[in-house]
Amino acid sequence: MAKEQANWARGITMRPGDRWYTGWVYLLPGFFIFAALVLYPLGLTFWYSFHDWAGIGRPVWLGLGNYLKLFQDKLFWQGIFHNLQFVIFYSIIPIVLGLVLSSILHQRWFKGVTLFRTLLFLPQILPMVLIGIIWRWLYSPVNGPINQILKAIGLKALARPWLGDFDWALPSLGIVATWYFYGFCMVVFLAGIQKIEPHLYDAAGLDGASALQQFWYITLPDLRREIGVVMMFTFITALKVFDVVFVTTRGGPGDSTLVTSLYLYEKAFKQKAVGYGASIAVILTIFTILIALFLRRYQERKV
Amino acid sequence: MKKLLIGLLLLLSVASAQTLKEWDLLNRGVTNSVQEQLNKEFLEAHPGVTIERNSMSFDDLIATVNLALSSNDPPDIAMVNQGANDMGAAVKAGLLLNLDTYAEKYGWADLYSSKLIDRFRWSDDHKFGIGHLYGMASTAQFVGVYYNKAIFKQAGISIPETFEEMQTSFASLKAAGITPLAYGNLEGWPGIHLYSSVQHLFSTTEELDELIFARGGTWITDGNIEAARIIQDWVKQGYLTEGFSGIGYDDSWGLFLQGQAAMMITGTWITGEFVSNPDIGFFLMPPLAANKGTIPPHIAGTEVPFTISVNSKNADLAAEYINFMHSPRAADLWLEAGLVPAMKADESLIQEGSLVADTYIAWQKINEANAMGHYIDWATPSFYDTTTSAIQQLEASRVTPEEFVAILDKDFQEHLSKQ
Repeated sequence: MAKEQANWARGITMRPGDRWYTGWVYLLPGFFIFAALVLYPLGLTFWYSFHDWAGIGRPVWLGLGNYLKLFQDKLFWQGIFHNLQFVIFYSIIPIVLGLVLSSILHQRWFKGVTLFRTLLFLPQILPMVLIGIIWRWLYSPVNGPINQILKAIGLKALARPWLGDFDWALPSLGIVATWYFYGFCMVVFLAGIQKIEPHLYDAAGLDGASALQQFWYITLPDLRREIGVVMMFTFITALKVFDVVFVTTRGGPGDSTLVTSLYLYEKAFKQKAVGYGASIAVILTIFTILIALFLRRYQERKV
Repeated sequence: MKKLLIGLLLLLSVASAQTLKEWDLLNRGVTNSVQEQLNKEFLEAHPGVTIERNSMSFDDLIATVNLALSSNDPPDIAMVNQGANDMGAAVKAGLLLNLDTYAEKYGWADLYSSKLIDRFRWSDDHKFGIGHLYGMASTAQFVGVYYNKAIFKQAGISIPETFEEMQTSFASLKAAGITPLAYGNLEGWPGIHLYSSVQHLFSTTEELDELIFARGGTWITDGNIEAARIIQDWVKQGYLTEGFSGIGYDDSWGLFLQGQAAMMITGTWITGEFVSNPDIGFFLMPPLAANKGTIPPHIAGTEVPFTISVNSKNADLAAEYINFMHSPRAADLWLEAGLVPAMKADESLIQEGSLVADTYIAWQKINEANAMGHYIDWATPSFYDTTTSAIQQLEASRVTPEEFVAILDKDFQEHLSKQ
């Protein structure tokens, strides 16, 4: 039959007696779970975002009211701006560090490389909340090791209440994220490097290419896919950062570390403006999807 | 036949048994054990009754209790926080029982200052602080000054009678190389208490009521600006723990407990942590010299109050439970545990000169003078977030005292215009 042949051509095998919907039936259980846990809440959030609602009682229809207010909300835009600053620390610096470390460590120059790899990856196994608490202590002006060391080596002038300093709080939290993610980048890149043909390096070496040139012309182009994956992942994480800010500065001092998801939490759960919080969530989701699509297109174009 | 009879009897006894579902936030060590004891004694006095207790943290309770009250199977008794966001919203949604008749029956209005009881009131036209009663709370919390007696003696200073004297003692302590005030404002909320403790000295309780119950008025007043200027001055003079902007609340009281500062301005919820150090005492914020001898308004309130669900099938029993929580026996148990009951307790239980005695006497003074101020973050739903951020900016001199009160007032006027 023509239909079966068409299916065959698309790589779908149907045996005699199979109905067209057999495959779809198998999808149903998974679809229900997906619908209940993802689509339904997503749709509900979208629905609430058009209402004034305190979490109980009747939602009042506002139309685009929440969105109009949101676009004029200075704190919301500040939050987005801080998220974008976090991209530098969540994504760009860890990728650069990961590339450098992986190209050093894959060469097995010295003994104990495996140990180093493991140690550098270690931050990844800790929960972010715990990491926040550890770093809060490291940065503390009361017996915090960072200030203690600065004082001990005569750099007392540099010691400061890191997390309470308007200029330093965001970079200080950023460094925590960098410390968390560079090990992850490194491991992904190491795996990528291992699949590059060794003879490419041998040939380049014979032709007199320096280590830097080998990195630039062989390693980097061949890691394009890995870089794309890691960038997508870390970028999205930077856009939805919450935990590390919540357990350290709570957006302070002032609003200098206020990020979008924390603002969402304050509005929806503390101030009980659930509709308004939902509109923040919707914009954040759209924003994240757009960036993911952009990164993906960029990745594909280069392939 | 016999078996059937026994079965029937069992069934009957089950049917007559009443279950009270109770939600609270008394989940920490001392408060938890007192609440357990009170529940036990209530059950002993009411055979056939069972209590299903659900105790959780403040944040968890705030996030879930209103939803639970609006469900098909609500708790009979639940702690619901005061203010428009929580109790106000629950009243508006018709989730809470009007307790007026019970209050009259048990005489709740005479237990403590009407200024505190008014905070459990909402009127039919949804005004805060007047109208029907929706809750009751049995322990008091207020902000004052903890001090280290040994450091005071060493520095030759005594409990100040005026605010001006207190500032003079700050200067002499600082000159002697002692940090006058233990303070950490990483989380932002301790700043609300520091600022409003000073701000209250320049206000009357009537003015504060206006602002906190959002009846009108403005935050742009000379007193509010002056208080902001004083906080900036304290920062500049180095009266607060060095690096306070990066220090958490727990670290700050830890420093004070270890004797690394002479005083700490904070709330009585922390008394339990301080009783281990016999050097620590407590006094109320002293009034301005112009008002010497009076008790100025203090940041004061109660624990989160108990309410009754409008759908409770055991409302009478639930009211009896709440009444037991305010009995002399309950007051004594709280006092023995080091917490200040909102109502009078058996004073022979307190040890003279102890920290608990200091706080208990201080509370009686506030109560008698009706000097109840407020947690200013209640003023509007977003006031907590606005104020914490603004105070951190004030302390870092990112805004002037005038700009600071303007930030507060902007939030406040926006809220008023929506009402």
